[in-house]
Amino acid sequence: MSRNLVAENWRLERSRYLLVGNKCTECEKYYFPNVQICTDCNISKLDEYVFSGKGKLIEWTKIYEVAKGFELFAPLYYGIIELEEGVRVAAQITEVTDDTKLIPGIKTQMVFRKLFEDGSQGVLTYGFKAEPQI
Amino acid sequence: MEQNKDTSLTKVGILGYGVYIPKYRISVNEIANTWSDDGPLMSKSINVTEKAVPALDEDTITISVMAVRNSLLRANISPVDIGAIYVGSESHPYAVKPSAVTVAEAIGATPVMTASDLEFACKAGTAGMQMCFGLAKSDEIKYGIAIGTDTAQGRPGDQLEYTAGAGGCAFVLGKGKLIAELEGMYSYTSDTPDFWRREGATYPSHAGRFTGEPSYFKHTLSAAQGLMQKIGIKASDVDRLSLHQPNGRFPISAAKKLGIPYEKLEDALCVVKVGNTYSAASMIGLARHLDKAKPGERIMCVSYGSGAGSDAFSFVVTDEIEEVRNNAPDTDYYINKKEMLNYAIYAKHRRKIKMD
Ligand SMILES: [Zn+2]
Repeated sequence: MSRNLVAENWRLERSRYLLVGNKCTECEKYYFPNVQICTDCNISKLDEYVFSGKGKLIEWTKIYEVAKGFELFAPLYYGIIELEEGVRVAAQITEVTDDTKLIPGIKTQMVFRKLFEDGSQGVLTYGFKAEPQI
Repeated sequence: MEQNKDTSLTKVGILGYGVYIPKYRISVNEIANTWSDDGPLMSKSINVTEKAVPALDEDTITISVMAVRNSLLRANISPVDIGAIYVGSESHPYAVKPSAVTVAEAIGATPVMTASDLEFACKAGTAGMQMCFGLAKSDEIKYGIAIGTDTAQGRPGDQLEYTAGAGGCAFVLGKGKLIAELEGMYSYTSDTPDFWRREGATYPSHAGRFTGEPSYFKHTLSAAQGLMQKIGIKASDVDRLSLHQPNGRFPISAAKKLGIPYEKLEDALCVVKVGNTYSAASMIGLARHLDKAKPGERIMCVSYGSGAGSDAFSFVVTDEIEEVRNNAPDTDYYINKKEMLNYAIYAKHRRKIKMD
């Protein structure tokens, strides 16, 4: 265990589980992860917003030499997803069995998956991953 | 119906249902080839052609969340009105730390609610349904969610390996806009050691042929017959039947013994294509009936959990079903969305290969 996953998971679980960000009450700009102040209006009046999880693939990469703890999952696919609300999110791409089909622009849907297992004794980390809709 | 003498305020039932089945499959033939068994003969004798296998990043918690999200697409209720969440499974990822809390958090139902993980072999999901119905009927909660999910493991080469599948099913239960009204429920329970897994053991053990007559059939049939007697119906009054399906043979024999024709069971027999989904099996069968049922039809669902017990339910489908049915993917979407694995990749998926 290299970092304090318990605290990190607990702090981030709402945004990771529910895809919760926020939306500026003035200019209606969406944010994920959530922010304290809207960078466009400089105001702090933002409402919590649950993203639908629908989006499209902008770009992706494939990682063969994975970090410790991810060996079973190699190769890992990471991508930039643009949610239908216009916000871009970095996410692991799951269910890739043929990466020739990972063409930028394809539709994606955020699904609930296990993100990390801290060995055989530590906590499990859950959250969203992007599933290509192909 | 004698149960419906009361006003509609006391009626409880199903408001929404959701299924999730992982997309990977391994065929009975492929498993048989690995162990030099006769694949076609095995497949025929258990009436299963392939079984669902979870992705490496899927477990009982993730499958439950996906099923619950589908159930909420149909129920159209606010998650904050959910007062109870029960996850029934024999494959909870943690020995200590509830799956139900992660499911509750992932749908925004926390914190004013109760949650618990249930365990009763393959009937823990229906035990959760009973608890939700009880709480909703007594107005302790507005809505409850009962989930049956498993990512079952069979010892390599064992008979169980051919059938141990993966899948989940969730029901939103309570009063309100019911898609199926509960007519009654009935349970039958005894200490019958047909199947078990000790704490810390990776694979379960079973008592071979002892898993048939004195266990599956005795409990399933007693619960079904007890329920019919309790609510005053005959076998011919049942339009649709879902039974627990440890293989593709047992439920067919049980339906026959109940005097209910195969055609009324057929839509529930998902085991042939996805294997035994344990806690989810009879519930997915019920869900697939709801995918197809017409208003007014009576569905009987009987679970079976080794150890042993059966929970039987009778529902009458309402007109509301047509409104919500297409709000989420149906069971066939998940049955047909599949990718076949060979035994080596399957072994990796099921962590049968030790990494340390
Ligand atoms: Zn703004």
